[in-house]
Amino acid sequence: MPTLLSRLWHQVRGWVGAAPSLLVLFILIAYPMASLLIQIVLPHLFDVKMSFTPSLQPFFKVFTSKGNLTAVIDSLAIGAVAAVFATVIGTVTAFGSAKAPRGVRAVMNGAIWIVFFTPSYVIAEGWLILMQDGGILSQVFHLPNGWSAWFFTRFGLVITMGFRYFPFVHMAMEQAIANVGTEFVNAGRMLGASRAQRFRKIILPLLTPALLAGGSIAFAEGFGDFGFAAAISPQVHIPLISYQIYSALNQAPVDYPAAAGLSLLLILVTGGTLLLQMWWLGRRTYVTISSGSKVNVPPAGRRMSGATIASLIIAVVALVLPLGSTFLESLWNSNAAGLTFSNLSWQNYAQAMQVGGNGLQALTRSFTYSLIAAVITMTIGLFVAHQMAFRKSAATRILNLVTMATIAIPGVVLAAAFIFAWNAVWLIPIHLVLYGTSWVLGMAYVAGHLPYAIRLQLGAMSQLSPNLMTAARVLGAKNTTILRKVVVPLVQATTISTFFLTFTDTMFELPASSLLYPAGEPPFPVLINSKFQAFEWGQGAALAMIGLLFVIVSYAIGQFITSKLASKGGSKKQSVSVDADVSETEVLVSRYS
Amino acid sequence: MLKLTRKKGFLPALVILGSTTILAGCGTTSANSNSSVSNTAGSSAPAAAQKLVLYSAQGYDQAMADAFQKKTGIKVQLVDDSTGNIVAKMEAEKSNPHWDVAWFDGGSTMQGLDNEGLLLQNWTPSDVSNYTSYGQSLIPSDKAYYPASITAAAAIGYNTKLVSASQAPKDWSDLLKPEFKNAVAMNDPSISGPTFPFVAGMLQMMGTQKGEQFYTSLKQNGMKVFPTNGDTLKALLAGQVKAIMIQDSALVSAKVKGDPIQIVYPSSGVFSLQGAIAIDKNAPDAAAAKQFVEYVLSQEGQQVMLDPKNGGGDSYFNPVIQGLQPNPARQQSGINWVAVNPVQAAQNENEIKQWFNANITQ
Repeated sequence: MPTLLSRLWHQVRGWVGAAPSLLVLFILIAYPMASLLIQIVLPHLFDVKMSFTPSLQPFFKVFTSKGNLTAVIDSLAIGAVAAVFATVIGTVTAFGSAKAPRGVRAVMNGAIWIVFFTPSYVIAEGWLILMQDGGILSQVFHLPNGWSAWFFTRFGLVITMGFRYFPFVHMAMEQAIANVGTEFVNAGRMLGASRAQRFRKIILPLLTPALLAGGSIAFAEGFGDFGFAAAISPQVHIPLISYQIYSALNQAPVDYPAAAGLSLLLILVTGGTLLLQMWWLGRRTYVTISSGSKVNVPPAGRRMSGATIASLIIAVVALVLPLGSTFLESLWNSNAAGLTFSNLSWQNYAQAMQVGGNGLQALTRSFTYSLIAAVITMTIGLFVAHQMAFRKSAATRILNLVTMATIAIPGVVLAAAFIFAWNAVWLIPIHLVLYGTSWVLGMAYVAGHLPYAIRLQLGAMSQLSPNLMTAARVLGAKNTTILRKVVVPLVQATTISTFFLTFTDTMFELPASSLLYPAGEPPFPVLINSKFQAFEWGQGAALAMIGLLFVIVSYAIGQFITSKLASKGGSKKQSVSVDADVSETEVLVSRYS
Repeated sequence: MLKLTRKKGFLPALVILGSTTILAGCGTTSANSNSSVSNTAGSSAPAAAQKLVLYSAQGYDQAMADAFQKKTGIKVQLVDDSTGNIVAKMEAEKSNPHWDVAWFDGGSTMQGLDNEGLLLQNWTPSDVSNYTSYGQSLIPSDKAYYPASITAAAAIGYNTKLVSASQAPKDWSDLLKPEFKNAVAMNDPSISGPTFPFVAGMLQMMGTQKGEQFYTSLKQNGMKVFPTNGDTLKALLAGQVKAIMIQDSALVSAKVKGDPIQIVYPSSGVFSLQGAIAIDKNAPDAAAAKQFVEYVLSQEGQQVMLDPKNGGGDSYFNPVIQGLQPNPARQQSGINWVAVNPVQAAQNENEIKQWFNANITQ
């Protein structure tokens, strides 16, 4: 009996402990998702006249369609190959940057950051201008029409996706490589392992959680992608699941039950792959930071290693090619006149700036949204990841699945889910119709980035030994103290990454921005998009470049402040004191036992 | 030993304490945010100061909002987006709508919303007599929406650097000739708004079977299908294809900018695409909404729309209001307009799109 009671107690404790995270994720993710998915069985719930008449028709329509089946398989294949490719590139750059001389490392990390926060539509557009018939390359090298046919295929699609998504892997790996430390590697060396052996048998396996954290995001992104496929392979018409969703949204009347059913399909597949990943990770431990290990900032290399050179090449391909093309386009007066000096000018910038009041207002608006969303996402992400990493329960596992699956769901569908959830008639009597206010847009921004924040920090935290927490707890540290004094200093690079990730991505986030912005107050991405839609590509590109410049400057300032704080001794002292705390803890623990 | 057991009891207590602190923290913040939210909702709810929420996909919507606000003092809150997004938004909020006026290109799309009962029916603007007779003919019998402009759902645009005037196509069927093999493009009707009336119009004009045959033959001649106007126009300008079939206002605006484009209005018929404007059946600001629609149909309002400085490419439309001249950059004479029946098109929309997707796009 006591065992049963204690097991029950354990379970209750698991749920209670997870309650705050559950509540936040419920408001931000679960409730909106539920409002969308429930339409699969109650397709008329959000009709003009609410009706609870159930129907399984949407469900059968989605799950018995052969077209949907092939679309899922195609999307799976694209997502998987893109993820593998992104993982390979991201691993190379992570090691390359760890081994690079200090200056090169800063430049490279900066470049990878820029790739990361450049909006997908800008990158896709850039590749297009570069590679298409009559594009930049064909003008420079006088290539005949059709020379790039090989590029506008599945092959080109996964390559460009790989170059788009590798920063996720890079960022997840960066901290992990730092945390692996030297002791295991040294042990291997002493036991006579060769360099290759040490890498393959010691380092890489220890990095598995980070690798999978980044890789799984790349997979989910590729699996649910629409923009890239639409831009790169319009001719191939790979029937992707996201295309099916988009055409459901473009039907008249818009078929939300079908979109919901297809989203469920996306959730099931991403959830399934994640379960597979959990099972794989659950088979062993990846703890590299226990009480004795120290956090190592990888020593800066003196010479350029092979990995560093490879990383530099990757950074150039991923960043300079597509962004350079967009920059060129922003200077073009006419698309048809092509690459001549007479066709280049700053005219588009002058015009974009002339949007004047509107442009500036939108930029400030988005800046405010970004800053607030970034602070909140970082904080919630940290709490939730901490909970998931160290209090494994059914509740946290479900949370993990739900958050991850939302990455694969196209932004438009997620944004529509927010409309259903926060414009619902049952909210009217309690005055909680948040739709139409800036609150709901802010919430959508946080919800959209939370999965990334959680995922990346989970990867980093899986290297921390639970003994550290136990020790701190024994010493009377509260949960928040543990998080602040023990966990955060050890994963801070990733935590800061999630801040910038949210900040920069929100500046350019399109689907939620456009569906949820309060009437009359458009944020910056909506403005850029309206230029592209009016075929003012030059002006759109110019606005995008202005926004990017703004983000880059903010990032540089942020980096500067962080490094200033660190050199003032804040961060150094902290890590020293952690070490001191830890050794003290060790002493105390051994005394007690 | 005793100490140890104590410690064991102490740990869970700590955990609970810790989590309740977090919980309490969360509770207060969310309570705070809730109260401030209801405050903001409360302050914006009483619409004492007149306002109007406009959902629009027209290029001149901002200028029209500003002009209307200046004239009437009614504050216009604009949501400007693509037609697809506007419609998706309207459908998602249909149980509790926030918009007063919706305005975008596509009679059949508007008809679809009307079929769902979202639009105000049987209301006649005070200036309805301003319409030309062609404009009158486009008003649906239930008066749920009004045409504010006309463009061609598709015309042929060719790249003058690649096609000489003598080789230029004159009718749709000329694009099936061998000189246009692998050199023609159009948009995907499942993604691009104005493309559906083009496809539906062709099926209406030629008959379903012959119309489908036309698109199939185009495909056999190597026609490319891009997602939207922008992609297709780019393919033309870059020389990837020689001729395209897209909305004519997009072609005119590119031509005015100096791009090497000539526009052909095929002799067998060009499908008219109306810029349709409608009022929400349960409009929170119904009076202001009616005033706005009347302003759009007035000569004064139309002049604002016709200025390319205000509307970019969308300003190159054909007015349906008397006493107005379209932008001179537009060809006027010799266009054989064919009106697409919106009721019929809306009825067959999904079927037609599915056929196109299965047989032409893929």
